[in-house]
Amino acid sequence: MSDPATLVRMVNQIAANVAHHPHDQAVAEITKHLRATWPLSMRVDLVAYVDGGGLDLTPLAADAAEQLRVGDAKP
Amino acid sequence: MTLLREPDYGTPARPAAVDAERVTVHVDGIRVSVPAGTSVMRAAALAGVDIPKLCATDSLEPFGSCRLCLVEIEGRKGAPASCTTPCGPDMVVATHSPRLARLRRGVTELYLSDHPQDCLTSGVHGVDGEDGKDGECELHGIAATVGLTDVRYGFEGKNHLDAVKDESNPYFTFDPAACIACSRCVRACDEVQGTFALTIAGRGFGSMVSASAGESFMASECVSCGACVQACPTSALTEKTVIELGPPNRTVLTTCAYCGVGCSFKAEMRGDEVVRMVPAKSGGANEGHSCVKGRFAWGYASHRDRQLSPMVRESINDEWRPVSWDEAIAYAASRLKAIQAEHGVRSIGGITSSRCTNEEVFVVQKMIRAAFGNNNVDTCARVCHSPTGYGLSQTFGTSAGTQDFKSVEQADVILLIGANPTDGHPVFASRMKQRLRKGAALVVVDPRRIDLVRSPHVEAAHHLQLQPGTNVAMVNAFGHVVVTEGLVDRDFVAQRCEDDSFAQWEEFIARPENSPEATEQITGVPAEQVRAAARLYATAPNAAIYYGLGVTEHSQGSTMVMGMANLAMATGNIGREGVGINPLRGQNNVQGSCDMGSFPHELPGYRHVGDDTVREVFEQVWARTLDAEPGLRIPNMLDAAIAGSYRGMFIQGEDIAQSDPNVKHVKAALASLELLIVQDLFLNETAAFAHVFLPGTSFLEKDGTFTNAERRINRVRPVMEPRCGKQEWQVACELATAMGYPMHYDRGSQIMDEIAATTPTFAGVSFAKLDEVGSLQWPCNDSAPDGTPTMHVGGFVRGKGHFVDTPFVATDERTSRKFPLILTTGRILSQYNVGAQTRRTLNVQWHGEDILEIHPHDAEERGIVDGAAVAIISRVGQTVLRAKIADRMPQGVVYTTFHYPSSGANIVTTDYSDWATNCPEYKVTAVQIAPTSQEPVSEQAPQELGMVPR
Ligand code: SF4
Ligand code: SF4
Ligand code: FES
Repeated sequence: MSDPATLVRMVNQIAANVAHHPHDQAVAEITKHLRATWPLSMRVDLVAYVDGGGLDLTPLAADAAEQLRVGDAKP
Repeated sequence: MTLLREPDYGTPARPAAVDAERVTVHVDGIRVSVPAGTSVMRAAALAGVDIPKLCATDSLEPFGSCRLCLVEIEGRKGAPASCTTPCGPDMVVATHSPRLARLRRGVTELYLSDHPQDCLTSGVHGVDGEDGKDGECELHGIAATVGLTDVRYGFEGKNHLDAVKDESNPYFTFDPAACIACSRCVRACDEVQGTFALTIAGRGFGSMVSASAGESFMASECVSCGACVQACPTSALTEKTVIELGPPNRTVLTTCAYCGVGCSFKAEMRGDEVVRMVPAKSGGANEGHSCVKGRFAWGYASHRDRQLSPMVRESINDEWRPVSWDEAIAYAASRLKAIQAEHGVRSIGGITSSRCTNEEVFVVQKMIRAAFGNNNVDTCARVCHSPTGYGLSQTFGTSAGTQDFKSVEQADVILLIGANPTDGHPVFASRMKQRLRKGAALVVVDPRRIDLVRSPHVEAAHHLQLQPGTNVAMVNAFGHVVVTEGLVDRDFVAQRCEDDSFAQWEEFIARPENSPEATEQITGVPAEQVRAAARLYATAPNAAIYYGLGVTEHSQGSTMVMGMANLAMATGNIGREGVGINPLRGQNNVQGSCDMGSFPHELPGYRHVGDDTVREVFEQVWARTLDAEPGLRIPNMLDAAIAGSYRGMFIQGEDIAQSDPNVKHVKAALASLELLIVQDLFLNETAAFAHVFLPGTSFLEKDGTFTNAERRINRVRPVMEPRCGKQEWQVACELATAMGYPMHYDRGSQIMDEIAATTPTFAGVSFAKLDEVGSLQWPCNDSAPDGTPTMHVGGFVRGKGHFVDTPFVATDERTSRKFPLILTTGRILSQYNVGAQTRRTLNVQWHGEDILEIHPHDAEERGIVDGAAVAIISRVGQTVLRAKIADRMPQGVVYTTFHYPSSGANIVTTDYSDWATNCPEYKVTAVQIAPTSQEPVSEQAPQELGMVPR
């Protein structure tokens, strides 16, 4: 289990750096980036964090994390 | 093998672009065609005719002072000096005649009368017509050539034979008695190195080489590059090791193991002992030049701290137990397997090192992917240039710098961002300074006033002294000026770049928030200055960007790399000589370790692990099914270690307990591991947490290749057998085999053959080809059999160039009332990274401890005086350093290096990192500085460390 605070900081930071794109494109960019560079274990932990309320995620990061659930982040 | 003597043609080559610019001359009846402007001396040498010379050597412009090289030219009066006389069409030259012989004998006799006779027997100097001091004093060589056996005047007259030697430099001696005032050293320091530390003081008979204003070499501006020593034709300037050990008698051509310049060296040996390292003129990266590290600081390889035996221990609190290789490997393998059996295949991993060869790195990542069965492999490039890889592959399609070093000779404007080449990449800096002295304009973007802003005969047109962490705002302002002032190279963009991404970027960058006036609030740099610098860059015929870790080690490191790529594309500064985006790589093999598949999501050649076709290539050759999921990055590994899901680790030649940020966190992670295997030369800080220590090899023992910042693959050849008994790649193979995955190579070349067979950009590379041509710049394959000095000529690797919008996002690391200053870190010329190597050499005489540089105002406000001990306190830690008041720092910013473990610079750096790659944000840490009564932990004096001058 990764430290949730680290995961949140990382994904929020990615979101902040693609936030200038239209929303759907930004979400797609984040999920693409996470799938390409994050190990499965961290993606799974992020989804678990969302399931636990995901309070500290920015809205864009939360949307991306939600998308991550679709298709690959199998617990 | 014998001593390699590179020819000395007397004067430098003159380029001839076209045949029309060539002239034909006849030297002693031999016809030779040379580029116009070539000296008669060089033409003669090319024709195989040696003309005696003393003040000339082909690394320096001719000077014409010794009058030994006289020749006769048909139709001309007198006997002109061949070194300063350019060839004319159909010139007929005679290099020998009774008159010339008489003249030369006379000159030689005068020189000899004021020259120690034992210089002849000291046996340290070169023979005429060859470079380097490998046989005997050139003057005595000439005496023999001109048939001089006796000096009529005797040696009793007025002379310099009793002059006192200057032995202040730890590596070389200046003996004025042997100096013939030929000025070669002075010109080498000026023309090659660009330091201007030497002069000929006095006049006539009293003339004498002098360092700066009559100081010793050590007290002068001298940076100990060795260029003067190499240029000196007598024993006046001589390496101390040559005096101590005697002249060398064989050469091994190899590559420096320090920075990413990757200089080629001749390791000159006497038996099995290295006598000296001499930069090779044939080296593509350095062309005969060197810096103090590569030239002199190789003694660490035989330092008494070297660990030569494998060792194991159950717990990190136990004493180390030296064991056999077999026992160490069996122990490591069984514990790794036990961890995997209990915690899963992905519970172990490793880190490769940018200080190791391509072959060593390739084998370690193969061991992790094939034998460990996962992609938990990362490299120390994570903490330096991972944003370069990301940014350049997004925009251009490949993760590499675009030019060779020589390209800078064609640049009209050099935009230098976040790099300090005179310290970090000294040999390239010398090349850059040569170009700047010839008139190229320089723009420096750096919070500090680095030496290049103003140094002898070099002055930056603009120094944009921005706030740390605001690079992206700055590059956007440049882009804004280019777009809004009509400076876009429309033809280039239309032909070479994507229409849609350019259109989108053009709209983005033209927004008012990106204007220099708006970004001035962020960067602190006046808008007019930014506009002027941007115009200079955009309107130059050739403008080149060079950058270093001041770009990458930020929370927006990757964004900044893309911002620079946007700028180069928009102005058409890509795809030919003199332009481009040039990362100055930190360690010798950063480029190579990344190329070799050290990232957890990429197989060799930067191909994603999720790509089935690519995986199949490796699965076939390696006969193993490979994991399609990216593995853990270094910071992820550390977090997972603390969380308990990552429990075993192999670290190749890296000291993450010193080099990585937030050391407290790193150490906690290392301490949580069940098994840590460290392979290194020394018991470093990380080894304190290890259970298995596997001794490594120094570059003098390695057999492989390094790839430098210009993608140049250079051979690293062993000058001796591995002192620990095995090549490092052998050890990784044995560990993999012990874990149940048989891996074996007979020699390094077989590993390169496997790299070539699996990695398209390396398809044409082999040891045999490298031995034949010297070096190759990848891509090297069927379409570029001789390699690729300049990339993206005619088209980008990805097809069309891709523009990326790069909005500025401020780092979360903010200054506050409690932490009002920003600490930024870097390195110094004489030391290298964590200092494991350079601290074990006499280079400590230049830099014995890490120092905190602070602006006079910030110091005064805190009651800090020069040399006082100060506490540096950040949100994560605290350390003590000695302060140096430095007006090159801007107010509000402090600076230190991280070469000494005791100074703990990384105790204070934080976990913040680049958004795309997690490259740590070393360049921005909010701190407070306060005087303290505590003393910095001092390092031992070199004498106490048992150092000898080599
Ligand atoms: S060692 Fe280098 S810097 Fe020092 S005097 Fe010689 S050429 Fe100049
Ligand atoms: S440290 Fe760098 S510049 Fe110095 S000799 Fe080595 S490769 Fe060249
Ligand atoms: S070598 Fe030509 S004058 Fe000295």
